Amino acid sequence: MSKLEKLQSEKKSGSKAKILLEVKNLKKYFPIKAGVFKRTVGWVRAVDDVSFFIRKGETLGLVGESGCGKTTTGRTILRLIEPTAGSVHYGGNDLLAMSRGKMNKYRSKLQMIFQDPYGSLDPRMRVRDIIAEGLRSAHVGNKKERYEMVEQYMEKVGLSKLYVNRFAHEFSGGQRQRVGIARALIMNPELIVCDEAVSALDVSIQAQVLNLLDDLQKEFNLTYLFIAHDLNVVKHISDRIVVMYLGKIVEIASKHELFINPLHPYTKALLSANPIPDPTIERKDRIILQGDVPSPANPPKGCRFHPRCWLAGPQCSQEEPPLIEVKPDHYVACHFWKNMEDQN
Amino acid sequence: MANENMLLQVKNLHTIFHTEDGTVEAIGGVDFEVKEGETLGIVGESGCGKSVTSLSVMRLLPKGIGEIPQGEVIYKGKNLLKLPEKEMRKIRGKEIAMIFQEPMTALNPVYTVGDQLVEMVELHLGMNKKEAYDYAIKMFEKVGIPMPEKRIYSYPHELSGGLRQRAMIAMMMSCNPSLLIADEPTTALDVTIQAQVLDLMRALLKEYNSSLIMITHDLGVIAEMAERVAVMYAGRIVEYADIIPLFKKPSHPYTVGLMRSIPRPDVEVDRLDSIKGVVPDLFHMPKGCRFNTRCPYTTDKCFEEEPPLFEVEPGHFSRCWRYAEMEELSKHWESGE
Repeated sequence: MSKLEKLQSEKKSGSKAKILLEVKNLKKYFPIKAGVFKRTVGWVRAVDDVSFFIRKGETLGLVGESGCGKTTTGRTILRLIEPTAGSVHYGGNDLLAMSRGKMNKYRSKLQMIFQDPYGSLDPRMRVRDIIAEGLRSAHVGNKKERYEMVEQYMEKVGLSKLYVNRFAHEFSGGQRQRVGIARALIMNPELIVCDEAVSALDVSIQAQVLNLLDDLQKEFNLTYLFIAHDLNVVKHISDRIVVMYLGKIVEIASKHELFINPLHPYTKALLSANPIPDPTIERKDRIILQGDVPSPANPPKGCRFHPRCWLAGPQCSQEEPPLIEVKPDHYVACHFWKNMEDQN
Repeated sequence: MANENMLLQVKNLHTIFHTEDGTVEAIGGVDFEVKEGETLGIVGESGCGKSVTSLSVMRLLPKGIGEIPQGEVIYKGKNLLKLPEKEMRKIRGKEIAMIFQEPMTALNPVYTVGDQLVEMVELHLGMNKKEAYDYAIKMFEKVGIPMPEKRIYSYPHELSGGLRQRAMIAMMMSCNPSLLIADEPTTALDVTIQAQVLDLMRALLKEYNSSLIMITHDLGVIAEMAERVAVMYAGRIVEYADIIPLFKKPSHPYTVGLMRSIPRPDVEVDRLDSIKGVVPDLFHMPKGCRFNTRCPYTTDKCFEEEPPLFEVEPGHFSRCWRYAEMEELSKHWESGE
C-alpha cells in the first residue's frame, strides 16, 4: 500500500471514542515588554484557564468579541502559538507536551482554515503547489501523485482543475477560500479549525462556502472547531457553542439550548444585540451593555464580566465563578445563573 | 415630486473611473431621494457601487480618476455637482456629514480627537477656541464618552473602536448637519458595541431631526435602521422600496437571493440558499440585465435588453423583466453550486 492510500484509509480506522479532542486548563499569556531592555512589565492574559472538549463529527462553534481569546485558543490547540500552560488531549496523547518533531506527525490530522483569503496564500506560488505543500512536507507520494490528488481535491471544493497553474491573485475571495479549504482537506484531517473562515466574504458567497463546509463534513466525517464573531453564522453551522469573554469561557451549550435559554448574562446580551433581518420584529428585550470590554492585560477581579453586568452582586467582584455543568451538556460560569433561568 | 420636505434628490447619477486599463462605469443611472428626518438604507455587496454613490454625492471622488459625466445631486434645491469647490466646502461637514467604516483611518492620528472637533466648529460655526472646547466637551458627553473633559485630549489610537466611532459621531453631529452619510459605520465593531452605536445614532437623528443615508451590507442593520431601502447590484439600483414591503415582497431576484443566503437567528434551515457565481467585473459586464449571469429566473429577454425600473406597487420599484411574477417565482430558488 502506498503512503497515499494509507493516508486515505487511516480515517476509517480512526478511534471510535466520542471525544476527539479535550482541552484542559489552557492558558496563554503574552508578555508586555517595555523600556530599552524590553523588560516584561506585565502579561496579557489572552486565554486564561480554558477547558472544553470536541466530540468526533460535531461542529463546535466558538464565539466572542474581538480580544476575547478565541483565535488564540484555536491557534494554541494546533501549537501555532506555544501555550503557557495546559493540555490538549488528542487520541490519548497530550499535544502540548510533545516535542515539535512528534507534533509534526499529528499536523496532517489537525488542519486550519484562515480568515484572510488574501493573506493566507503565498502570492508567488501556483495554486497546485499551495495545495500540495502539506503533502510534500509530509512526504506523501511523488510529485505526479501529489498533483493528481490536488486536481481531485480541487474538484471536491468546487474549483475547476483547469486553474491548477494559476496564482492566488487570479481568484476571487470565495475561490481563494476554497483553495484554503482544499489545502486543509487534502491532508485527510480529522479536525479542522476554521478561524473566521467566512467573515471576509460577501453574504452570497459566504452561503456557498458554508454549504461547502457542510457537505465536506458529511463526506469526510470531519470535526470542526468553528471560530467566528457572527452569531448567525455560528448558529447555522454549529452543534454546540462555546461563548468566550475576556479570555474565559462563560457558557457552553447546544445551539438550541443556548439561543433559547442563555444562562450567562453576557450570552444573553450578545444574543439580544444581534440584529434580526426582519423589520416587523421590534426588539423590546434588547440589552445594551454599558462600556467597553476591559483590557485583558488588567482584567477585573472576580467575574470578568461584573463591571458590565446588570445582575452583579458583591460576590461577583470578589469570587470568580467556576464553569459548572448545571444541566446535561450545559455549562455556565455565573453566580446567578438560576436568576437568569427564571428570567428566561 | 416637488415635495417641500425633500432634502436630497439624486437623479440619473453616473460615475466613471479612468483606470490604467481603460474607463469603467462604476455606477450608471442611480436615482433616489431622501426626505427630511428619513433614513435611507443602501445595501449591496462589495463592488456594487454603494460607496461610490456616497462619494459622488459628497464630490469626494479621487481627482483625475473619478468623474461624474451625467446626473444631478439636488440638495435643498441646489445642484451640488454644479457648485464651485469653495461653496461645496461649506456644505461638507456643515450640511452633509459623513461617517466612515474605519474611524481609525478617517481620523487624523497626529491630532487629538478634541482638536479635530474644535477645528470643525471653529470653521463652520465661527466659535472661538474657548467656546469650541466647551462645545467639544458637551458633544462628547452627548455621545456617551465617559470623562469627556479628559477624552478630548486623547489621540485616536488611545481610544477603543467603539469610543472612536462615538468620537467620530460627535464630530459629525457637532455642526448639526441636515444629512448624514454613514458608510458601514458599525461593520468594524463587535455586536454589543454595534448595538450601542446604532442606539446612539437613532437617538441623535431624532433629536436633531437629521436624515441619514446608511450604507451597509448587513440586512439586519438595515431592517433596524432604515425606512426606505435601495438595493444595489453592479452599479445599478435593482430594487427601491419602503422597508416593510421590501422584506415582505422582494421583487428582484437579487434581493430574493440576498435574503435567502443569510443565516438568520430566528429561522432554522438545514442548508442555506446561495446566489451562484460571482459579481461580474466592471470591464466585463454582461449584455442585458447585469444580474443575468447569476439569476435563476432568466428568460431570453434578460440577455438582450437591460430592464428599466418598473413600479411594482406605488413606491416600490424593481429592475427586473419578471417583476410581476416574482412572488410566485421566489418560492423556488436554484442555488446552482
